[in-house]
Amino acid sequence: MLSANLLLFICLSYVALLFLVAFVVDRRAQRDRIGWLQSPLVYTLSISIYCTSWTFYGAVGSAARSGLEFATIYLGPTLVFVGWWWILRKLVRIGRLHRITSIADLISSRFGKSPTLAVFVTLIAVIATTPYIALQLQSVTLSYRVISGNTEAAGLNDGVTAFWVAAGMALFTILFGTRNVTANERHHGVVAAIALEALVKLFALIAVGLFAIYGVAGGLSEVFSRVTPEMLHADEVFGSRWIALTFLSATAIICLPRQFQVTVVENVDEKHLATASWLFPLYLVMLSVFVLPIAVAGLIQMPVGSNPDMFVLTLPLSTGQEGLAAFAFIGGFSSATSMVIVAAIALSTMVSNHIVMPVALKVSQSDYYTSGDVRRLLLTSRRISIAAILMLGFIYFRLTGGSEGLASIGLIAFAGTAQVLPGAVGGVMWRGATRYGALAGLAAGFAAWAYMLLIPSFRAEYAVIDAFVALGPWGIDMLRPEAFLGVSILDPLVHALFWSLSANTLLFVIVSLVTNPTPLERLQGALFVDVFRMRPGEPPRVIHRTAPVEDLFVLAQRILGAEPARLLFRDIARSQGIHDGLPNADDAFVSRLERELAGSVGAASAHAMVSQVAGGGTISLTELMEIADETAQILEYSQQLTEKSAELESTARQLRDANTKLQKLSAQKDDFLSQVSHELRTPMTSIRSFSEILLETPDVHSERAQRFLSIINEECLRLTGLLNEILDLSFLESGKVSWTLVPVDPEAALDRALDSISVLAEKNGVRIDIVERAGNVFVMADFGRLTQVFLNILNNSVKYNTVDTPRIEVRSRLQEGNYVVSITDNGPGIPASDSETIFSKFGRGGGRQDVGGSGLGLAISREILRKFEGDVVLVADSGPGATFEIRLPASK
Amino acid sequence: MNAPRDPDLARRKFNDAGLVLPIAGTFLLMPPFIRVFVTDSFIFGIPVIIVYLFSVWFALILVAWWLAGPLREAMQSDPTDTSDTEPPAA
Repeated sequence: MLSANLLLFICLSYVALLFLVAFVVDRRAQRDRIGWLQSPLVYTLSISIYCTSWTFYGAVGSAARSGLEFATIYLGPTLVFVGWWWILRKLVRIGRLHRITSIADLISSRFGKSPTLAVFVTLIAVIATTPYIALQLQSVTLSYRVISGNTEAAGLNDGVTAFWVAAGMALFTILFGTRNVTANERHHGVVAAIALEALVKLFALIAVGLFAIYGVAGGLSEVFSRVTPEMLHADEVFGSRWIALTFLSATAIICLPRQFQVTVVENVDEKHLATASWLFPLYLVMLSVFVLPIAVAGLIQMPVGSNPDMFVLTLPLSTGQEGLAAFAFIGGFSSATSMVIVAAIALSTMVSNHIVMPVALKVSQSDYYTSGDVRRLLLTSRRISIAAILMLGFIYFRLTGGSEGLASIGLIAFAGTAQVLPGAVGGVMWRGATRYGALAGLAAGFAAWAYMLLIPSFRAEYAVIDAFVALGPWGIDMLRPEAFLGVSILDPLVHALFWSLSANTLLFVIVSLVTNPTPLERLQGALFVDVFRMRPGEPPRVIHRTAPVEDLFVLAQRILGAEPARLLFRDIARSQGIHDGLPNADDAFVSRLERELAGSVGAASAHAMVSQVAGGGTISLTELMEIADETAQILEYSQQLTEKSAELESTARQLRDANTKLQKLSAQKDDFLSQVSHELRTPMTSIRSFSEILLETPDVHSERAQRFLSIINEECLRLTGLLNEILDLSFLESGKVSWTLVPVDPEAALDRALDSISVLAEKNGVRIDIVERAGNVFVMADFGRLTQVFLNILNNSVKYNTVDTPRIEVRSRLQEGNYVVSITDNGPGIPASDSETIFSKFGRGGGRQDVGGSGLGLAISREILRKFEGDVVLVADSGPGATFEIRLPASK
Repeated sequence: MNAPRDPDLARRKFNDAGLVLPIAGTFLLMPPFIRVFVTDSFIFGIPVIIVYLFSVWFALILVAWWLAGPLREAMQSDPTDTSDTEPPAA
């Protein structure tokens, strides 16, 4: 046993550590240095407040009593989280978009910002959570008593312990949970502290689990060899209770106010949910794996009749492991405190937003927004609510005396919060749900729950209630709370769940079908149900309202505080293009302001306030109806439109590209045609003039006539050659050429070309020097065409060489796997600026028209070589003359 | 022409997988199916039902982990960043 003083010291040090963590993080948050805090890991750890002391101590007790049944409490949340794509994703998106502050706010906001619903859900939440808080107090006091060896004689009784625990938690929650009325109710310090607590409780349970397996039982196989089918209750556990409990825990992870707080409200990035979808189930399974071994080891080790709920503590204690016991105690303490803190924050937000604010609005109806500080009112009411909620839990704990097993209190609380499920999930999935449907369902479900579960839970303390449960009210057997209308379901929990949820869902659906939603309800319904169809950015704005912008500014200051309100208004003004002064109070602005305020005071209160300032009562009903219908339709078609317009855009882009290409081609064609006509006109002109002379002067000297005729003939030959080359080029360019490339000896082709050119060279007095030969090589080509290429280039070199002693050097060699022929002349050379134009059609170098030749030779040569996968280029800076280089890949 | 590389199709498939996973989990973990594994035999010295229960549990987590990446990609980037209007603490 640990001494009470030591234990107290450990506890206080741990609490001091939590205060320090929360304090430091809050300080850093003020300076925006909390990057790591917004990680998916911290988010997941904060969700693990699901695992309260009920898990920590109660799961082992449940496993010892009913075998595998304990697993259902963690299977439900596992299924919800791995199925996050269904519902959690939607809730988080809605929560972020509409600045939802609590589960009550969600339901109220969905059903036309109804204050009645908000109050109702808040009350249910408070009533259902009170036993749960009492449960945490009980587990802390019980564990304290166990670990300190029942020190009532030492002056500490359960009541005193519980009171100080409750007071400490209230202090922590007030200090770090109500520092400000932030836009989205985020509490960085608290989240950091509960993330730390999540780790502590996980490691504590794992430590005890490992000790149970290896320290007590002596190995894994030892543990399970003691497991009998009776211990697992395998035969009877997989019945209706298995399904009911899994369903209940799945509901709880969505609907419990504290779970909604950490999963939806405190969410900083939707994508964190993707990580939590597997990490949180992993956390649950890590805890669950060790529950059964601890239970088995406890049953082996501990004397018959000891409380299995305390095995986590008593197992290490009984073997003298006091350090481990203290660690386990801190783990249990962590799980209790983290749950109570977050539950108190969530509930106090609900109470202040949905009960205190509306009452304050009613009381000072005339002029509430210019008098009194709404912020202070909110904070004060939250602080008082926290103290009151913890006090309620303490009172419940004293009243029931903490007699029941931990698990059953927890299940009663779960069943109470489950009544919120049809309204919440039905509301975000079904557009036809109405406020009256939600109210009727909630009322029926809540009544059935109170009648069949909550009241019977006091039967052990009060004889009246025991008689009431056993015989029914006024002795009417048909109305017995545990066998209503004679339905005999053995398990009271399954019985109550069956009746309450059936009545709840049925009334919700039927009343929704027979009532008509108000226009605002229809609008909110469309916005919630179709939240994923909305374009990113603003939700479609809605109601036509006008207000003096100064009044709105005063209102915002009262709620958000002076500086934040100023920043918000400045932002909005800038987005409207106004750089100085207040923004225009248009519809979008009023809607946005309402949403921002909703993040602090809840949707219903924000709506009431803004409507009063902005004259919400003056909207005509038909106008609202039209807006609601329009919005629904717009949402429906917007997605299709988005898809269609994307499709159209891409088609248009392709068309534009094609058009540009066509225009370019057309310009090239015009260019070519004009050049061709120009080339054809010169010979035609001379043919025409000479033939005219011959026709008009009959007595032309026959010798002269002969000369004229020979000129005409020459020009005709030139024309034919030109036309042949044009045809050849167009044939090459059309891509219809399909030569069969065969290995040819390029040296032979070069020889043939040199032979052909020798006559012309001699005539022009050009000397051709063969400087270097490649020798034995083959390329893939067509012999005739290759010869044509060589001839073309030699021809150019001869014709364009106008110096006094014209000379041409021919080299052929192998270079990096290519067969290269370079033909160098000592002519006037080609300016670098012309190095590409000479290869285009009719692109004679230097604009020279004086030498015969079509101007197509180089274009044709390049076209041919490219078909052989080679090329011809003009070598840059190769001296006074020009050097052409012909390259072809040599074949192996 | 659009079959396996169509990113839309792939995304839809992951969407559907995300929706089917909890249904499959429910089927595997609820009676009557789970009763198939209620036997007196042992695997590695551990009762079959325990091995089955935790294997399904871990498998669900594994599949969820595998789906988390593509689904995270599929989520649209934040429509409204709420932190920009958050006032500094009082």
